Amino acid sequence: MDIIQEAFLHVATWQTILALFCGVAIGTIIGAIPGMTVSMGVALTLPFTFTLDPVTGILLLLGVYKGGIYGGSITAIVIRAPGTPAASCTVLDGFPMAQKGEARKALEMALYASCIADFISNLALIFFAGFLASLALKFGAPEFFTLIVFSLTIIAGVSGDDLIKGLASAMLGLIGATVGLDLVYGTDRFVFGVYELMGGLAFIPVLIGLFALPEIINHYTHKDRGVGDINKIGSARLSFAELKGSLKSILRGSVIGVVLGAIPGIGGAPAAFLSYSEAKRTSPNGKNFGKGEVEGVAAAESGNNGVAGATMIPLLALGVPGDVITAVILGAFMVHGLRPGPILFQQNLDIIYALFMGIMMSSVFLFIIGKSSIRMFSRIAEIPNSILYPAVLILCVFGAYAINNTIFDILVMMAVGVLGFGMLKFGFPTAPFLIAFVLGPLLEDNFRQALLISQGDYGIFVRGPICWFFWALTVLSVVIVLNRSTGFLKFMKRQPKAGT
Amino acid sequence: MRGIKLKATGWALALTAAFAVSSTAAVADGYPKKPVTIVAPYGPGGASDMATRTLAASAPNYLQQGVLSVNKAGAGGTIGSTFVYKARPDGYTLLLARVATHAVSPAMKNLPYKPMEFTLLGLLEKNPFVCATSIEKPYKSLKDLLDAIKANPGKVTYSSAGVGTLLQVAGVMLIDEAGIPDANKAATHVPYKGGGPAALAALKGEVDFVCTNLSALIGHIQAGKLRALVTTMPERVASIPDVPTARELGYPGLEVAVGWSALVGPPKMDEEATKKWVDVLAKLKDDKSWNRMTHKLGSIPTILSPEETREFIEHSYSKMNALVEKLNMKIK
Repeated sequence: MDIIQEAFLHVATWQTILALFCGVAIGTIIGAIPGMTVSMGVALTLPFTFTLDPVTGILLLLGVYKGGIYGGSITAIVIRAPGTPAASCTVLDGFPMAQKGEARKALEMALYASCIADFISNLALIFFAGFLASLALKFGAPEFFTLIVFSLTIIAGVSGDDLIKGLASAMLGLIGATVGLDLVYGTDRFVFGVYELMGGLAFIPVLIGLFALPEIINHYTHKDRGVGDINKIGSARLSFAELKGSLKSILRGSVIGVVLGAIPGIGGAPAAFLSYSEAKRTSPNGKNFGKGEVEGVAAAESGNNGVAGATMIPLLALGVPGDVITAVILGAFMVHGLRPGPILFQQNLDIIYALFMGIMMSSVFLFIIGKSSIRMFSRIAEIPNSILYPAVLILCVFGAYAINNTIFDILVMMAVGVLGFGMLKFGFPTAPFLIAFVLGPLLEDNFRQALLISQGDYGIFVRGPICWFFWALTVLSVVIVLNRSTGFLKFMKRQPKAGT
Repeated sequence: MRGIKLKATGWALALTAAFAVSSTAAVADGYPKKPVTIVAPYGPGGASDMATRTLAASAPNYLQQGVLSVNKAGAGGTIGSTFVYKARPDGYTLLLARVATHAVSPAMKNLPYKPMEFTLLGLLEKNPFVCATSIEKPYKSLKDLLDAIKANPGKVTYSSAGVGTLLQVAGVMLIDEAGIPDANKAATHVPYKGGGPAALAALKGEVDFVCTNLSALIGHIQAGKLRALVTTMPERVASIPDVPTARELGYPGLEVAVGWSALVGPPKMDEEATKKWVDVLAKLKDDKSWNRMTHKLGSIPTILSPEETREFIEHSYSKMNALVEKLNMKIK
């Protein structure tokens, strides 16, 4: 009880509360700017925490993190340029909604889904940290590989009507993902002597090029575009019934986010895509996904925000940073002479509890700040296209540049933009490209790591229950897809009857 | 509506300003007339990023100007290093050089830059290195591990932060120092993307051992999850007093396997700027807050003069190069 009191005293200072509030606000803004990723935001905020009390400083960073994950959805919905990779899934339904004049509704759903998922993720951190941390340690390269294989079956779900075109799009994404240095041999792949390509194609320029740029090119190549036409005003609001209807997807997305977040090295984007595809598969509105379905936004956003609290699990319980953001937060701990891990729980339990209290508070702040920002952001849809599109183009260029401060990334964005426009014209879906591009490196790396560990024995991919679990899901998923497109199961059922 | 917009713009401007200048100071004549950018050639959160940020937090007091840290990650540090190599040598773009960018990678690969052509301003810190194994593994000492490698060539695995990193070369060096033939094939190298995942692989027991910065492992060692087998520092490290040094175990050659950060500028950098930074680093040597932060991050503050730095880096490079040539590890 004393410890809880002590923890409360850490949190209940105006400095800490202000830091947390400012953190969430800064994060929301940074997340909303294409090219400013959450990890950059957290890293930029880090030096400000050097002089702060440890709890205050770390909560400031956590605020930026949480705000940023949510903020990424704003531009994804409004201008089709995801602020963070994790928000790229939100584009799929968020932007079509904005086009229909439902930007506000989409933003509200994104906020509610984010807050609910964030809250659940925080609860998981507080109550199941030990259990989830031990699960995370069971996740080796082969388990990762099978998880990613299963995740790739999502491609069938987002391919639209033409599975072949979807697969072609995914192939292009996989090829894009192989650019750079070979993981095991360190040799160049598709580098062509250009040193900037040695690091591979950066996510954000590709994302912006794939989504936002084709939209702009399309606008200017349309013959019938009116000068100064105005999008339908985004005043449609989210009804309680719609929220209730999506609740199941939000809860499922939160759980997916929590589990994937607790495993170091996965991140928000795969969680969002898994949540999205599961929702699409099971929801009665499934066939509307990708055309501006509010439940799609809910699924994507709950998936990526469910990760936010859970990524703290490996950090606090094991001292292992699961991604770049938690690596920066680990640095903040260390600068203050604290070392996350089991020892911190023994020696500084008051600090842990104080962080838990602050984290719970951050969900509330996220809601308040998000709510007040929506009014402002949904008005972007009211800006005449003659102003909006050039402004978006400038944002795209800035975003591609800012991620690594290189002009080269702008060229990457433009090249991918032209490709994306071609795909749009010829009816190739872009989502499979994106998923393959994000998951491709994870697939390859874990496949090769697993084989190195097993000395080339393929048996390692079926070594335990986690592997089996994902293989079973993969098979199930493929059968469902085949059934949908070819009537495979019906055909099988009819066979015995024919014999009698 | 207009009010909201203006307010938002004001907010954005204030924020940008706050971020852009981490420290404001009186503008003096001559260099530096504007904030200086230090490029960390790796992503946020790693040792190089933290070293850059702690430097950026303390140096402005002596430089009388702000210092910005910028991450240009990719290709094991090659992208950021090449960027600074080709930057204008006016002293406003500097690089946080690492053991990988200036010793290991150059030994293993032809790079778009020549490491010793950079204007060396000074070594900043060393990172104690340690080889460790999961407590679930049967290796109670370095001898156990080396015996296992000798008995079953290729069966023992170790993780690294990728090809051309110190983690990879240190593993090979350890085996080579023990006199085991074909050191780069005696144990299987499993590369990960970054030091964090490499440490995690050892913690999970996915690989048999890892050699990496002590700061990445110290928590796990103290929590009793990892067993440290050897450190590469000349003397025992205070936070892990029971772990023997390489010298004690008879492998003094392993001492070259140590992480370090140095501040460097583009080739033929402006003389005034060079002098200014050498001076700033000399003052930083006694700066309490920089020393404290560096210590807390698990590093050993080691500021050296440009001449000493050149000697240090050349020694580091020549040892790596000798090993790479001996074992034919050059990447074609």
